[in-house]
Amino acid sequence: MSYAGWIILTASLVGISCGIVGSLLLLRRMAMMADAISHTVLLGIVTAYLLTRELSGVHMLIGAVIAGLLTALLVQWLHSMGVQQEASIGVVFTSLFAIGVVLIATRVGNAHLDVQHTLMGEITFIPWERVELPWGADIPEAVLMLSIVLVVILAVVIGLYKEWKITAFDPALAASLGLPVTLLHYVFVSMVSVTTVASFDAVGAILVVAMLITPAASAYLWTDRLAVMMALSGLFGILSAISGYSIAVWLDTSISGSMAFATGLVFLLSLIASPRHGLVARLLRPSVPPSP
Amino acid sequence: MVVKDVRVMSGLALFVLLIALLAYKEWKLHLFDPAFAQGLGLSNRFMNSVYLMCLVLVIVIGIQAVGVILMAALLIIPAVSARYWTHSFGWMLILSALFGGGSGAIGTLLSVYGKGWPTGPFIVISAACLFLISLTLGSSKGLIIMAIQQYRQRRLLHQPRIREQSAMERGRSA
Repeated sequence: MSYAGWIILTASLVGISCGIVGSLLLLRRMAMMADAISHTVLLGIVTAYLLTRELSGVHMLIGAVIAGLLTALLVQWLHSMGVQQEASIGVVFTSLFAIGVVLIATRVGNAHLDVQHTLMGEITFIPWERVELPWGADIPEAVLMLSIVLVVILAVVIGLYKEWKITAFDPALAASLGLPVTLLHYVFVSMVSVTTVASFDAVGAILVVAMLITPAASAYLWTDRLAVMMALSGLFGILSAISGYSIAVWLDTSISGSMAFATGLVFLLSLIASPRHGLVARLLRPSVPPSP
Repeated sequence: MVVKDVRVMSGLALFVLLIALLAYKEWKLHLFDPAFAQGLGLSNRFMNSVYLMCLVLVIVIGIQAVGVILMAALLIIPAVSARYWTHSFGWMLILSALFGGGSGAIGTLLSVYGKGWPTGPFIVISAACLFLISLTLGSSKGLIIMAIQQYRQRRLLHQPRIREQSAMERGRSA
């Protein structure tokens, strides 16, 4: 496949997995949590590197999941101490992120790991870091990792679809029906961490937040059904990946930056033109209240 | 960072400080009871825009010192720490400012000791350490104080009250 093809494929994989996880994130009102996890993942990666001296996929994934769970646990603990939810998120993620940055600056030194890379990502080099598959095919490492993550996420989301639905919309009912709401919460947090770290190379930690939240928010303007929202959100992710790449080629600028910009454009279009909650639709039928 | 930057930053900081001091009781009223403030003729929208302006000024100052992401830490952590020491709004303002300034000084000092150590993250880490100290030792909501109070209340609860003892028992113990 061509160079541009691999980049678009990588970004589309990021778009789909982020879109699916992002819809649930939005419905569970945890958008701030995504921001927090996408930063603390840095600490997990650095610690994993210090312990194993390897920058390979599996170690990074495990470190990131532990960091994500640690963030969620600490936020929950501070919240139970009487600190407001947002304030405890702010305290926890900035402190953990600062520790990660200090570790990078003091211990890791000249390793292939720096703040700039982890925050902004470098999708341009992805097609060159290849890995050999058992049956002889030759694909970029990031594509392999993202595909595995996407399959895992799809399996977890589809397998537990009605559980996710009920815990997102009515956690109290879910608890009274005997569902393990806390366990599901932490499973979800691990899912967000895995998605974040898998998307790291492609779009960077900060732009993962854009890919997680904006396509899902746009899809929420088009539909009120969870399954349709997830599909639309993944579709918007792919759309922004492709249009972002063409914008980047056209303007000769940062690829990840233009992809995040494209998600913003998709959101703006949805806000104006969506048939259900769009501004134009609301203007055309002002007497009908928006459906709940 | 040059002398000019420091001057601009000090000027902006003084301006924000002045606004906070001049309208102290208006801020207090606006924060704790917006409806009452509106009833007294204080415009909530105006107060909100002034507050947002101050916030933007403070962030502009802070970005030069610690960077975009860690700015959030300096906005939140000192205030949350101060909350553990007092229930009074005025003291909370003063303590929070002291904690913020203190962690800035300590973090900068620490980062001087190593070669190439970043300043911003060290400031945030010292703020986080101050927060942990406040969380445990804080004199009005700290964990230790709360535990002691809980222990006392529990002992009071479990002590048999004199009124509930029978007359016979009271005579025996006397």
